[in-house]
Amino acid sequence: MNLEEAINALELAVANAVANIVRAALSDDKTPLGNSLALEKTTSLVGTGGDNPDVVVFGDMNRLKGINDQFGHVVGDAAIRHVGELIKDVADECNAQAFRRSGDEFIVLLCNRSLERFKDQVSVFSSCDFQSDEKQYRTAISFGYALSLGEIDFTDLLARAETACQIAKSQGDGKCVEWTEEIERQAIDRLRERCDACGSLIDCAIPRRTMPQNRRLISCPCCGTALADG
Amino acid sequence: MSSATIYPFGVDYRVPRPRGENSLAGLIFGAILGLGLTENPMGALAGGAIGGALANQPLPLEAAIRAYFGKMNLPVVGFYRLGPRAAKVLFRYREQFWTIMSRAPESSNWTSEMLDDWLYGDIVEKQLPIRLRNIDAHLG
Repeated sequence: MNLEEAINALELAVANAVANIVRAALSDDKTPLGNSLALEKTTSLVGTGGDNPDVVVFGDMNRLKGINDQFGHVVGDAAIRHVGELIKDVADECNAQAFRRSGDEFIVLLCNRSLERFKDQVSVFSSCDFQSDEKQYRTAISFGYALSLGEIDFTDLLARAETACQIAKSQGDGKCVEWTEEIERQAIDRLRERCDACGSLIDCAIPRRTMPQNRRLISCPCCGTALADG
Repeated sequence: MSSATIYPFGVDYRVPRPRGENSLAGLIFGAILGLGLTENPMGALAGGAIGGALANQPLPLEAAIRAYFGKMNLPVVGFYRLGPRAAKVLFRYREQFWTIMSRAPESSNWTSEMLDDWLYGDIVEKQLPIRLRNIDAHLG
């Protein structure tokens, strides 16, 4: 091998190594999806028109903690992988991009014109059966989504999709709920507590998102009664 | 290179993690770097030696396992180090998930490098073929 061939071989080896490093840096270690870094690199395109995604879908696995607690994290990881593979299949069919943000949270970015196709396939997520070491397990996932109307950014869209997902989870496995003002009200109502003393609804749980430093009220603002969860 | 790995007395031999797969690239890279830094042929020689030696280092156990399983077209979902002497691998095969585990025998003479080499060899040359055979026999 002469010097020129050696340098060419080295260049090729370095280029392959860099490509592998970039691919590894953007890939989720448990699923065939992108990771949170890949998501971060994509979010600036959301809602910018053209062929860019304008729907943010948030999926949250149901009962993963129970699987981890009961069968161990190896089975929990298998569940995450299985759901990730299913999401990848559906996302590929809808020309969507799918990511695992962390834990059991998945995000799909797609175009509005593919939304109906995505929703048509959501039922497969109501019962995700998988086998690990010859034992049968079941998990499920529910989705919420928010449509970009052009004036809100990705962070707000994602917050809306997460809110819709909370409602979807309350409706059952494999549900897919669109964020609306009404869904936001329902989510807030679910977080309200009723004061035992005066019966008024207290927004003590809402501050998780709207008050600084996750501060919680410690007493009823109407009658001053101390709240159990204060 | 691999035959030089010595395990504690009484411990069965296991093939160690691969070494030297990138030694040529490391050698060339080191030589070019050495030449560039020193503008002296001796620099190229020294750089080549250092580059070759660095490229000769084995991959960490998890990376070596993932690389081997990748070559076998078996996606690794999780790698779990269970203390210094044991490791478990969760992988996908024939539409199902499977685990294999390896535990090194007790000895006071283990070093961490030896343990990683032994666990690698035990997983890829002993546990995995047995597991795959059993799975294939079971699933038909």
